[in-house]
Amino acid sequence: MYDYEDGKLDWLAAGLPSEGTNAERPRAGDVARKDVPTCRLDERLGDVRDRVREAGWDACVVLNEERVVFGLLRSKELETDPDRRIEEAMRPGPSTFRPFVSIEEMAAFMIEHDLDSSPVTTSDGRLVGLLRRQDAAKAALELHEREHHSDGGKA
Amino acid sequence: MPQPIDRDEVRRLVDRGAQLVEVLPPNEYEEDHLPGAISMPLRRLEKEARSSLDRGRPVVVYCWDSA
Amino acid sequence: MSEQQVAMACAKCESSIDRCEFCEELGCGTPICYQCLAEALRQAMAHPHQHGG
Repeated sequence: MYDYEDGKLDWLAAGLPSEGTNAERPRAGDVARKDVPTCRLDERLGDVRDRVREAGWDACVVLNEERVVFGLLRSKELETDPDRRIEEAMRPGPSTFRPFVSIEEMAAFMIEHDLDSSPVTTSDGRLVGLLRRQDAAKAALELHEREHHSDGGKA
Repeated sequence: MPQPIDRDEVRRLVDRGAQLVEVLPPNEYEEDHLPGAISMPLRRLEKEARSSLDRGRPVVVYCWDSA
Repeated sequence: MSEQQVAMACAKCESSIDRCEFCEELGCGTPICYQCLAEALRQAMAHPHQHGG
């Protein structure tokens, strides 16, 4: 017999699939955008900004070779001196959230704190995607309407 | 005494046919469990293990975390 | 005005914090500490459990 000591929390925090009623409800990792632009520490800000804008985004996640999140560039950071290196321009060590966190909780927090976006990462810091407030709010609302509708419209 | 293993080892054992057993209460199992895991709350583990588990396959038990 | 450090208190447990752990802003209106945030987000996903209960 074997004992998986770190347990279910470890498994879910690693972004691995699960079964059960929670697995059928959207979570942060499901709603996070996987196509968020990414860049490296040693790139030039101006080059990254052009790439980000061309892709239609206003944010970029800074990663190393192993996709571990080092920092974040939002509009404010992207609009500084284009000759700066990413390492100097970025917001280092941003708050990140695990893939299994419920989308309702994330949406509520993001709205309450007026947070535009946040990286979703596994327990070892690897990027799953960027969760945007508008996507979280939309998913939470759709979930609420779906569940409210299935209850027969009970208040 | 069960042998402690990590996540990677769990995956390797499951690929080789190990049985996954969650020892948390049933309502927690219903909400989320590892794919293919069965529910056997701790207080029933000793009693039900012999009848419910295949003795020819490794068994991996897990809880919520290491606390 | 003297150079006083503005002390923030977690909106849930009132412990002293440097910044909101969710949004990282110094001027957040509802700052939350790491402990309370971890609890809030984990509780959103699973109920506390008891062995052999």
